[in-house]
Amino acid sequence: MKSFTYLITLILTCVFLAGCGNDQYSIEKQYYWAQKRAAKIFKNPAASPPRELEKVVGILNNFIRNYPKNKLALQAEFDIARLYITKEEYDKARLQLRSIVNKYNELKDICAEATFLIGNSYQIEDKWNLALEQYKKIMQDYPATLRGLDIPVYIAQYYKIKYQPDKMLAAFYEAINHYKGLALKYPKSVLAYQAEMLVSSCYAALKDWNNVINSLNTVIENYKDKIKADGILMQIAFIYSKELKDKAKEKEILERLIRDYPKSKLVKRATVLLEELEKR
Amino acid sequence: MASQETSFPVVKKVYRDSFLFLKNTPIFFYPYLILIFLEVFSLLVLFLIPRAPLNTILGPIIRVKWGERFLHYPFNFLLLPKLASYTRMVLTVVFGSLLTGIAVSIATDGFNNKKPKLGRSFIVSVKKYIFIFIVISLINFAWFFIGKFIPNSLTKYFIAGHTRLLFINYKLWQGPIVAGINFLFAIIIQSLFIYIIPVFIIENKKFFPSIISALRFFALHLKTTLTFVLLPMLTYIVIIVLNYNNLFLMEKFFPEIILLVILLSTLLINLVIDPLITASTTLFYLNRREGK
Repeated sequence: MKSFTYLITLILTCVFLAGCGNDQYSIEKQYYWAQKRAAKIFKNPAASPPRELEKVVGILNNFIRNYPKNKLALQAEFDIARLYITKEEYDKARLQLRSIVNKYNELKDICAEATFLIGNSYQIEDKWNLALEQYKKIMQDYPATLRGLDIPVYIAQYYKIKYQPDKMLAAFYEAINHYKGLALKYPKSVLAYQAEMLVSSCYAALKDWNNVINSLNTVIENYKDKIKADGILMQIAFIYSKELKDKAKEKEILERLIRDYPKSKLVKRATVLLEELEKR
Repeated sequence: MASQETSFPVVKKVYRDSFLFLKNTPIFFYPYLILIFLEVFSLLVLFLIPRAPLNTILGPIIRVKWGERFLHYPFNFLLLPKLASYTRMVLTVVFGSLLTGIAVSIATDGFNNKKPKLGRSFIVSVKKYIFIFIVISLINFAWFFIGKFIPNSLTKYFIAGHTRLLFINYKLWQGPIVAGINFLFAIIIQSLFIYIIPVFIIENKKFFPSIISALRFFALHLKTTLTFVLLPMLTYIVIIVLNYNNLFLMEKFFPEIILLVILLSTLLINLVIDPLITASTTLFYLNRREGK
């Protein structure tokens, strides 16, 4: 009985000790509560008093000070910047974001994100030229990041929303050149593949269907050993069918899909489309 | 089929006897208290999985089966009810089988005006452990299978492109309706098997004759049995509603509230629902057997 009691005590001690350290879990818990305070401001920025903002920023700064090496500290840094943007304190937000860029200058993705938010803050203030400056900086300094890939299309979309067709066209052509440049700079890489696919998206946005097909064919040619191109072939077949109304080419591409990828899930759909083509 | 009645006086009398028995025989709760201890202890372990040193041992299982995020605060609380339910299932099969046998044996002693003794009831239950284990496993397997089958079938149905089933959308089906159907099946399954353990403990019959005898008794007293199972189970609706609103509770109050809900459900099941169902159905069975 005595040894059984010892065993139970030992197990219970182990279990209770499991929650005592200042481990990742307790850090996450502290961050959760800091975020919860911040969420109140995000939800209703107009109703929250300035003192509350300072309090939350203080909590987040304390968190960053206490756990500088933790990945949540970085999130807390961005939270502070977003809080300032939400409360329309743009100068403070940009100051915070610039300090992130300086602090994490080795991490390109982080810098790209911070720069994007600086641009965003200008854009909210209706200072497009300053925003554009930041976005171009991302294209130039951090082109291989996710944000860097996204930003040229983002700029073009902005002009589209603002009904500035000339600038939109120019932005799309600039994006195409930018992506082509990236594909040349990092040949045969994942980045190059993504860039070349974005080239075709840009041509599609411009409704330049022949160039869409050309760029998709380039992708197939360059990456045929690395990717399954059945989806791309189907995309090309659709363009021939819906946009270029070229039945012969559509048939040719669908037959190529069935021949090159006999086990693909798209074979069934391709067969149906071929049958429909025969009837037409 | 004279006994197919659900006469209110019968239910009332059995409940009066059951409450009196529960009041005068605190020893009847001992098996349930042991189960509570085991469940609370396992809950504590589950709660501490994201933290060292438990995360080294149990963390990889969570990571592979459900994903990394469930090892982080507060997402671990979203998985906790599921883990607690699986653990409860295992504990019920392994230990609950023995402890239910003890409880039924104590109730039988109480009915026969014998002084209930934990040791004696334990021996009775141990001797029949394998049989009770199989029965409890069957109940849990049926419950688990239905609990998985209905939501999975619904998901497949809606993924296939349907937007509604019987004019009802996916959100409603996967929410309160599935919870309601599961609740209904829980009552039916439990009612169907409820007399097998009393018959086996009391009658000393063999495996299959006990099952046949118990199912026959259930068929004869269908409505009354369903009433005995349903009434205590109604209290569980509170837990179903709380479970359905897990996210809301976490957001509105604090994530640890999930732990409290699970604790509440453990206490409700082991101190109210299971003791009341076991006592009432055992006493009802004994009453009918004696021809009272």
